[in-house]
Amino acid sequence: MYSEISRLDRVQAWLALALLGLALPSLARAWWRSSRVLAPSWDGSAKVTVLAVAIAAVLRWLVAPRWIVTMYVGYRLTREAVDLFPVAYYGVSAPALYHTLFGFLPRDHATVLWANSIMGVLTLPLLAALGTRWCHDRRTGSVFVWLLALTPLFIKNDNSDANNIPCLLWLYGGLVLWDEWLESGRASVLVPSAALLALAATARPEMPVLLPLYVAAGVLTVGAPRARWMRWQTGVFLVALAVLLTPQLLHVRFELDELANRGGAPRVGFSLLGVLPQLFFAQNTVLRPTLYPVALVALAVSATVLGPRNERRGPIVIALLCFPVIAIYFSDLCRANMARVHVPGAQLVTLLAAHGAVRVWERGRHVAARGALGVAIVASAVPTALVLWAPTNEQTEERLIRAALATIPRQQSFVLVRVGWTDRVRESAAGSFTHQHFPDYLFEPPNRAGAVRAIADWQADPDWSRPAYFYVGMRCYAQWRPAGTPPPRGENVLPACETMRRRFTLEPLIERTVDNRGDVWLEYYGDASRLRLGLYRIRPR
Amino acid sequence: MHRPVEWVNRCVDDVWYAPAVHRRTKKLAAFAAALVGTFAATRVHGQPEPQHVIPPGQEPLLLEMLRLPATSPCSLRGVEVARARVVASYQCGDDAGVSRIELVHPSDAVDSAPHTTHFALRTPAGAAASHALLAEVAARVRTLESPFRWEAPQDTAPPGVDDGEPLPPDREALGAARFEAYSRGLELFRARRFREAFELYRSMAQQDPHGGVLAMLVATLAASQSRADNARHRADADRHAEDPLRNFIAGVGTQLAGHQLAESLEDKARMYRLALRYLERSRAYAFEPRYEASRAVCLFRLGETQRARESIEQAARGRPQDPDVLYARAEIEHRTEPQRAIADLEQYLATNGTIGADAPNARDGGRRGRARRAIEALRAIVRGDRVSTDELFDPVMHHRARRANLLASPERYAMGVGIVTLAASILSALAAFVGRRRTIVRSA
Repeated sequence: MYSEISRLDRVQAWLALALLGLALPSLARAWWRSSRVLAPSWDGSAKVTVLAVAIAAVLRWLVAPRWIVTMYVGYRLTREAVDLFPVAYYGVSAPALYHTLFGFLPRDHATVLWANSIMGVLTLPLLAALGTRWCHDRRTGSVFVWLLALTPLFIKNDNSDANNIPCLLWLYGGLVLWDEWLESGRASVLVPSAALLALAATARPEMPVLLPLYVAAGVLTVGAPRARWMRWQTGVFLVALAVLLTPQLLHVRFELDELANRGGAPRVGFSLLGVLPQLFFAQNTVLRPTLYPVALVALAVSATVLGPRNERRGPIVIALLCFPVIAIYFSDLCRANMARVHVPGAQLVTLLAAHGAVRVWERGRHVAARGALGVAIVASAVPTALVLWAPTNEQTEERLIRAALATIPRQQSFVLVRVGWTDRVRESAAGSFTHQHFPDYLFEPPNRAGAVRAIADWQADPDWSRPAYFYVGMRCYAQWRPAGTPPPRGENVLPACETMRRRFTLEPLIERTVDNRGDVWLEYYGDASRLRLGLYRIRPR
Repeated sequence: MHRPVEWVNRCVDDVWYAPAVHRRTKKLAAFAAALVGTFAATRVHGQPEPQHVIPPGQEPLLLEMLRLPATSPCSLRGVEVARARVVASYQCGDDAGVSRIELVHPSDAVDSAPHTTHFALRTPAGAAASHALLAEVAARVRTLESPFRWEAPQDTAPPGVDDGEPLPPDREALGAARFEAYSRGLELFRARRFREAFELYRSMAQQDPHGGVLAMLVATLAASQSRADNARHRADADRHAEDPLRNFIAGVGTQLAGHQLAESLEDKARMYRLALRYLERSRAYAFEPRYEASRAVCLFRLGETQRARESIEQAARGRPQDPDVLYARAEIEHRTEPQRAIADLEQYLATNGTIGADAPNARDGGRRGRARRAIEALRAIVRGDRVSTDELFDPVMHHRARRANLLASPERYAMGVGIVTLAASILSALAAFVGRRRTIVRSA
């Protein structure tokens, strides 16, 4: 295995190993610094912040469900993390983190979901500290952490497979330490800061572009004097970062070439600039009341105009930072991933909203005005919760996968037949975009003694030497369609699944007739109200 | 010339792969073979290595040189071409015995022997030829020998290589000038000068990839590619993702590396997935049947039998007699259509026997050895016997120990991260302790 991995992938994996090793002590340092910023003394503000983090933990770990988002892509991300090689399109550090976890936890996307949920909570103190410093106001930090803890968009993202969760944890950890350097001039914090920022930048392809902007924003918001940061240590820090990011830059370039070869290159450069204003309003999560509370947007705007003129520097810099952080994702954005990829931008808007809320609170001294502010925030958040946690067919699929796992005897060697890429409708070019990712790793060694095969491959070469099961999941009824097109009539069943029923005797082990939740995030399913799913033992006819 | 070697190979294969042979017996046999091999190697090593060898492809010329005219009292009975000498057998009159004349490089014979420009002629003991016959043969050799050439011996292929299946040149498809170049490459291939052959065919493919040039690139890769070569080709392809030739070389090379060099089934699967990635980028070369053959094998080994079938049938439509295609189709069909697989393998052996008689052999008897074993196993299956075909076509290199490294599994990787974390934590604690002491000392 080792010798056949490309040199770049190997370099990236070693780099991620070293950086991940440094991450824990570095994060510990960042949290310690956050505690000093947020609670220099154990006063009311500190207690409120700790309470917010505790409530965020309860909501994420005990109340909100953990689901794979973006239409089954989490199964692919988990597979990439199990394998590690070739390095995933996004970058090495997030898969390397999960790969490390798989060293002592089950190789299951549930591990990824739990890890993300925990990391999401651990990010909150860092964000609150950063908010406090960037807006020069401890109250802003406290309100910010409450908003982050309770906003449905962030809860949902933290309880998902989104690979920006570890990325943001590292990013904000690195920025907190960068801020400490700017404040105290303690050069030793630049080492953990560089480690965390390098990890963040190697977790997502857009991060090498955004990272300099975040670092610059750190300088501009706190108004650090030039003498404080124009020192040789800063130069070494920046050069070290550039060196650490070089493999990621080469990797991203290679992956972009790869995508271009396949005709799926994201929109970059001037072609993006031309459509930017239109996309900014049409595909902006923050401007969609169904995804992000509209009251927070209003408060964010108020933060840049309210308050003393000499205190507006921080909010204006943050507002300016919001634009590239949101706009960069317009290069490759669809309805299904909006609520995930715009989270970093939404966090900045929420920081502004927290600052705005503090300003409004100061001005509206009347109880009714303050109550109205709270009601507006809650009222505008409720619709987003209803949309974000709307029941989907993908959730039904996940439940069925778990049921299938529980049904197949644990020690048994078996074959699981399910829809694969070869089973797509070849006549339909669009159908090939359907995400056929399936958690094969749950059924294969070391988890189980199974082999997973696509329907076409099974039909071509059935293996009767061991028990064979046919999994009829949602993908038997899914075919991608362009956005806005009406659903096809009926069940929209895939011909390959139909053929299985005709050619073989299928004995039901699990059979469920479930509600068809339709196209919540992508256009996939037909208009039948009910769909029949199940796990069947395959017998020759 | 090669028959005894082949016979020995076959015997060893038959014994070694017989299911009845106990593992312990195999170990004993391996130990004994190693002892004998070491002894033989020292013996062989004691013999002087020839400084000049006869490159393949000159047999017709030699035959023509050594055949005497009808007016001669002697007639040629046979010619045996060895690595560094030619032995011609003559019979002068019906009752006379057979006389032999050896043609060697002039530097390998004593000065008194009759010489021509390229050869020294000598007569072995026991079958000595008359002076008249020697003189007559020498005179004929002198008139015809000018196209002949000797070569310095080449290194043998590195361990782990597999059979390369060369493709005979097609004059019509190539055109006169390219035909010459192609034939020169074939000679280089047969002379085991694979790297030179590879470079020649690569430069030809850069100009025009048609006419079997890509097939010869596959053959040279199969015969000579090392791990380092493959890594280089992939890096080259990664740098030039838009270049179909580079990606073709990387794709086919990675498939071959997965087949020949992978150390586990997971390793193979990973290599085949990688190979498909490069092959996908060299779709422009899908006209070459060996492209589809390579792709089909990858797909088949990744469990996508249906797509593999479509791919190999497309390859077979392009060049039905291509040995690579025949072998790949047998591999893909051996579970579902053993009879057809047997037919393909037999045809493969026949085709490969005539075209690639000098193809280098490799581990476990090379592809020809595997083809023979596969035919036996498939015949047993057709008879109704239970025979495992799991690693018949694509064996794993068990003898190569997997290198211990932290990238090998999540467990090892986690261990690596843990070690770095521990070291970093200790260093941080030490730094904090030292920093605090300094502060205390300074404030005191």
